[in-house]
Amino acid sequence: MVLKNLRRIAGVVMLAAFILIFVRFDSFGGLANAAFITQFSLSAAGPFLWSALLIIASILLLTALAGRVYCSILCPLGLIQDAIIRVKRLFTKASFGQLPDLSLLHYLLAGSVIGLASAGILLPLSLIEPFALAGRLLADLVQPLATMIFKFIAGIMGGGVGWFGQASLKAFDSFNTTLVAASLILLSFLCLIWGRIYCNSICPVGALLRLIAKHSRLRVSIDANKCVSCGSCAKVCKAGCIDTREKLVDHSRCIACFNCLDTCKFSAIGYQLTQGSAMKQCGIFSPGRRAFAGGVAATAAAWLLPRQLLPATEPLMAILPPGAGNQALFTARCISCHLCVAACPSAIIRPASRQPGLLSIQQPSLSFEHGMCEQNCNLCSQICPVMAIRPIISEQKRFLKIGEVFYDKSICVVETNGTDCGACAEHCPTQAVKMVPYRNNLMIPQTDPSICIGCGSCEHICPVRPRRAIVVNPIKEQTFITMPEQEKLPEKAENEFPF
Amino acid sequence: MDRRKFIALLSTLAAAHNLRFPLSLKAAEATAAAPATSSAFPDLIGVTGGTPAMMFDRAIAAAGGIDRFVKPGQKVLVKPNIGWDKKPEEGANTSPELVKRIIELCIKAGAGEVRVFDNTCNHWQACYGNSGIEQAVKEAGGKMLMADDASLYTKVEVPAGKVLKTTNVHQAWLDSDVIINVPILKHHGGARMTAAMKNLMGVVSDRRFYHSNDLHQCIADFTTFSKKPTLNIIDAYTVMMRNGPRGVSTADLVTRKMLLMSTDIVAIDTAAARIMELGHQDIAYIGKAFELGSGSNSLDKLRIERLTM
Repeated sequence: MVLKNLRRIAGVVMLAAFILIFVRFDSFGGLANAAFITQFSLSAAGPFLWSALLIIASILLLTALAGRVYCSILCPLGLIQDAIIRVKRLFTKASFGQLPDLSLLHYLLAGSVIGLASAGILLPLSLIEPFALAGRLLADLVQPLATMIFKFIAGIMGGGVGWFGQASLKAFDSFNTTLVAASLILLSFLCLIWGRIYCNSICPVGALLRLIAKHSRLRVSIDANKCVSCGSCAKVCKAGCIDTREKLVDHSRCIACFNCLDTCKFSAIGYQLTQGSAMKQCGIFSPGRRAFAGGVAATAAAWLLPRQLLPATEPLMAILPPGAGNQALFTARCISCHLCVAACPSAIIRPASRQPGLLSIQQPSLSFEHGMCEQNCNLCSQICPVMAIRPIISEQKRFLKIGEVFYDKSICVVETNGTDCGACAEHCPTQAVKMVPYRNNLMIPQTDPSICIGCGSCEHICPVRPRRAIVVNPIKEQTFITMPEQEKLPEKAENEFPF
Repeated sequence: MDRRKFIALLSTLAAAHNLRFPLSLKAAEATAAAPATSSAFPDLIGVTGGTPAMMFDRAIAAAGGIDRFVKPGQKVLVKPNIGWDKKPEEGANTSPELVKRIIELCIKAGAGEVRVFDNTCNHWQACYGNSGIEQAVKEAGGKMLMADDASLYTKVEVPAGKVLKTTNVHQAWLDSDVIINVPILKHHGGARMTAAMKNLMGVVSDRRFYHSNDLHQCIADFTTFSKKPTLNIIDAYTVMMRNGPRGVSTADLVTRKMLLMSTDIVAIDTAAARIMELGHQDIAYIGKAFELGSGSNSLDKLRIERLTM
């Protein structure tokens, strides 16, 4: 009971932390560093650092000692699945039964996606990687729904500035929301019928950990002398890894939930130090390592893929978050966890808004429909867990060019209505768009792309519909602009009324 | 004698010449002590030479004291310009110390509640925070309101409007007893100048309608709306002379150390235009608002109080 309760408490704390981080990054962003440091994929996918190596080593060591504890208390997707299973158990106590060992499929899949990722094709990995998948569920479904509730509460509480009103409202993106909702439905379906089958047949982190968990020192095992094969332990097993007839537990698939420990009337099942090879114990031949190596070898072929087929040469369509560099770098680094989507105060980092190709599906890019890239904000570059958006200090970010202005005079209000507007120039932080004299004493926008940073302020505020008269186009490579020295204004006499 | 001293001497001589300045100064002090009827007050007050808060104190005294505008128990709305994510020294938002002083005086006068908001251009939390205004309002005992959500706005009719027939106005604008409009004076790429009238674009939800349907006419039309500012105060301590209303750097600013105050929103903008080195005819919305009967654009017909600190 103690172990199970400890696991539950730790799991609830972790899951709460993840939800808070994604739902209200403005208030709980500080938790991110502490929570993300436990994540295997973030350490593995991030830039090489000794600290990352240390984290990976710690997780592997933990698994070698105690089994897949990572999967039961640290992995956000594992915790989400536990929550789904918990809800199911409110309605039915039906067991998942003993599930087939899909290790061949699992290792092949993991080997392939990791191999492809190492060759710069990140999409397959990011689709099934647990942190990214959990992030998308939280950022794209939970966060927008929660914010709607926060805004509703703020409305009831009156118009004063308060915590609820400060939530940043994100629009649902029809394509992306459908994808994420579909992944939630699929995950729930798997979960409701086969328990934690995702963890033992799809999850790449799970695949790595099960290779080690197989030999873990502390493990759940059955004392064959006491066991009467009644099946009560297997009934509560979320991984379906207990074979009660043979009185064996497949440790590679055991996700250390400890549900089984207290069910046995004969104290035949326990979590204890066990000597010897797990292979012999469970008696199941697993072609794991061979399949894994096969997967890696097969996908090494991706390295030989002509570089021309990779996203660098795909049509230039997306404006990337400031710090992303260029499309090729970003596509090869971003695991689509959508933390930046959840955290962006202006709600301009959008998943799947304008994608340059299949490989960057679900990767975020900027849309100025609901806001502009605020000049003083560099939040996304500070928080990207895999540094796909590289850190850039605020003073530099002000001059980082992420797109370029394009002005279509023929549909501009000043031209078509013959009235003053100037909304674009008004919002431009560098005066890359400025108003110059035009016919009939009007002022008309004039652009200077050389000092445009592509922040989208002009596009955001332009009142022309459906197509806007001023838009920001993507650029190949993010660069810094140089602001020209400003002329000094003539000094004015103080204390002298001009009227 | 350097240039500055020469100008100071010249302006003193000019002030002494028309004799209005010293006389009205005395009148201002007298009225501050004992408020008379509104007709006794100047139409427009200009103060120069102090900090924004000091100049406000001087101007409000000359206008008859805050008690003339704020009665005990009344709900007051103070509407500064908080449009941009800029620091106070960048001159893009109304000076926080001025906002603070106004709120303090309103509360001293017995105001039931003093509220502040602006429908900002940049992200509202960044604007409220970096402008220093949220802090100033808090310190003064006022209440900061949100203005980013459509649900906070109510649709109203503007019967006298030529283009702007209906618009959505912030609820606090509609349910306040007293409205103090306190913009900062700046150059404006689209509207030429932003001061008192243009500042009222921050109380409606759909600014794009203005921009796409004759900006100047819409700005003028809103001045005919039944609920009008009780008092207009223009912060012209630092004035953004170009690249406005956002500004590129502090090189766009000049220090004028001025403050204007009037109940006439057209007159105050006409005077403000002079500080911007523009005539009222350069700014179409001033003429249009005058045509709609929202105020006077002939400064020579007005009683102007010019105070130097």
